[in-house]
Amino acid sequence: MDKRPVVKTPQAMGSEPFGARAPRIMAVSSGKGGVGKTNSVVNLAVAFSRMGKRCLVLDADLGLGNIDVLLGLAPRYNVSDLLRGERTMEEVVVRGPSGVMILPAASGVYELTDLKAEERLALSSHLEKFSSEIDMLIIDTGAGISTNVLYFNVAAQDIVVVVSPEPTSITDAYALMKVLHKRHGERRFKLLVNTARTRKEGIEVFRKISLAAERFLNLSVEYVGCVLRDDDVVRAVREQKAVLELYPDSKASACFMDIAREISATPPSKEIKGGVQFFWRHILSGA
Amino acid sequence: MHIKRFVAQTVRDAVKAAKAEFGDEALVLSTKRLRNSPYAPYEVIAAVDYDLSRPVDVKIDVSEERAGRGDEGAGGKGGEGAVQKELNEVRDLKKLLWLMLEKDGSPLSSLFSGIEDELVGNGIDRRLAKKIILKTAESLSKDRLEEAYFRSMMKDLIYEKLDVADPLKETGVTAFVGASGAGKTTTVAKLASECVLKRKKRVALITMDALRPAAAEELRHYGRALKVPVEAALTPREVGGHLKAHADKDLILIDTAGRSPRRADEMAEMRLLSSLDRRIRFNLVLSARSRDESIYENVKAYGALPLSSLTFTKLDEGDVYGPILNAMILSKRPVAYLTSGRGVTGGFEYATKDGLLKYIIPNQEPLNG
Repeated sequence: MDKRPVVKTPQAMGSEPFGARAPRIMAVSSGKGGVGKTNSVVNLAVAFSRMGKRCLVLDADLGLGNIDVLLGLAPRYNVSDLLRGERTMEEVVVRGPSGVMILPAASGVYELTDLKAEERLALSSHLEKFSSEIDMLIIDTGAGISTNVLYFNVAAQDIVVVVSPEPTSITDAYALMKVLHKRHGERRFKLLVNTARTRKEGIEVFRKISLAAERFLNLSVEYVGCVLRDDDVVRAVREQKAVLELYPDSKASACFMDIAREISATPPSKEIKGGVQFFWRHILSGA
Repeated sequence: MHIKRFVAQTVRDAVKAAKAEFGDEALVLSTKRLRNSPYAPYEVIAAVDYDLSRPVDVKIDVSEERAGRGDEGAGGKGGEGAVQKELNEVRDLKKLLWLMLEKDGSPLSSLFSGIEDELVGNGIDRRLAKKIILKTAESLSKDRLEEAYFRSMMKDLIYEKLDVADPLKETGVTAFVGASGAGKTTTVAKLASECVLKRKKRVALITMDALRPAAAEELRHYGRALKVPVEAALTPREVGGHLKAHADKDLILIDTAGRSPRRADEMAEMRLLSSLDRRIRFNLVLSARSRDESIYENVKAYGALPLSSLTFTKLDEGDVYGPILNAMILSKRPVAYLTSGRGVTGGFEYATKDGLLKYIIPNQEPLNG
């Protein structure tokens, strides 16, 4: 990695180093667990990869990671080795299907459920050094509205909320957006409807949520698409493979590609200005 | 948000039912005509968010944060306390990043490192100084980052961290411990004088300083002057005996022999004293002239005792008072008394937050005039 010198004057503090492009950062959350968020993350990453983008997936469900299981990977090291300073990014990151890179979470490490500020800083610093190798960073935040979840969402450019047609999933997704909005000022969200029976149902779910969010919270919710309910997904999960890999012609696969294209086509919700720690810069300039 | 399905004969009736349950704020999310439901063919899905009827502040600003900080632990609703904690965490990171930026020569760095050096110059431990700056920075929004405001916030933060107490306000037994030469005997004498003459309390003194007959004699001398009984005790057991004998006193002050924090056997004797009578509280006497290492050593060594407070002596001989803050933070104990001079009358003050603040950060002028 060659580090070009950056001019550090007060005005230039916000300028990007000449020629370098920071990766796009997307956080994926759901509020409720079990709606298919991790699966969506994995397949979206494969979809972006197919579009020629280099993806790194951060399994930020740090104590109860699942991405490796979903893909049949058995990584030697994980984020906890990285945070303890015992391994480097190169040693920890594993390659999955279609060239997707994965930074695996630990499994059963309670201490990672709520990272301390220094640990987050360390993580961001590792990611920053890796940033020239990737075009997209997708963060699977884990379910719920814990500190970690909120934190990774605030730090990302795009917040993608995955929801399923059930009322409980809808209320939890709303609750997640509410917390992010009320306490961290987030105003723009992207919605992905998973396991929709039909495209029409997908749109209906989106309408319900966006109506409520716009009316009660004054937020803007963009629809990035739905993933149709598909038995091929169930089969792929059992085989521990991404459905895009195992059944590339399935309905669900087509949906993932569409969503990936839709996301790529729209500019990120938040611009990140250049500087030292690319990952969190918008916190400094915006929040 | 609450979301519920209402079915009725007509859409209007269904909406009416929704408003009846959710109130006027009810939002209709969808309406649908159901098949196979001749008696209630219309479905309306409605939602409401009750929180929105209460005033809500959306913008994050300093005053909300300060209120939150004071609420820590006591916290209003449980939910709000937890989210405030999250907010603090994000802020923590924000400012850590600021400091990281500073290492690369950002203009913020000169402000921060200048203030840091100033605090260190006042005797505050560098790690603590960094932490103070960090925490001050985190409560600022980026457009308020100018020096005078920063200093004022920092002062408030330090003020909040100060902890003072007076263990002898009521009745009780307090043993004064600490290294040789810290000023225990003088402190006991000054305190006795204060309590007898100003507060009109009934006091008894016990001296355990057998190795230094001069100290015991000194205390006896004060005792005679104040008309206060002075007992000598060679062992913790003897102390117990004296405590019983003077059960009628308001306050009993115990002067112990100066001990090296490194001598385990000497520490053991104090622990024995503590276990013999649970009422005994311990006050650690430290000289304001001590170097940090010796303060830390003492705090750590005496940490095994139920220390209730600290005393700082020889304030007139020191020139920086940062160590007071260092010791307070390290031991997590309040400061009770400050003494100066060797005389029994005068040179004694109860620690107050305002007073301590003036000692610890006396220079509050901005660096740039």
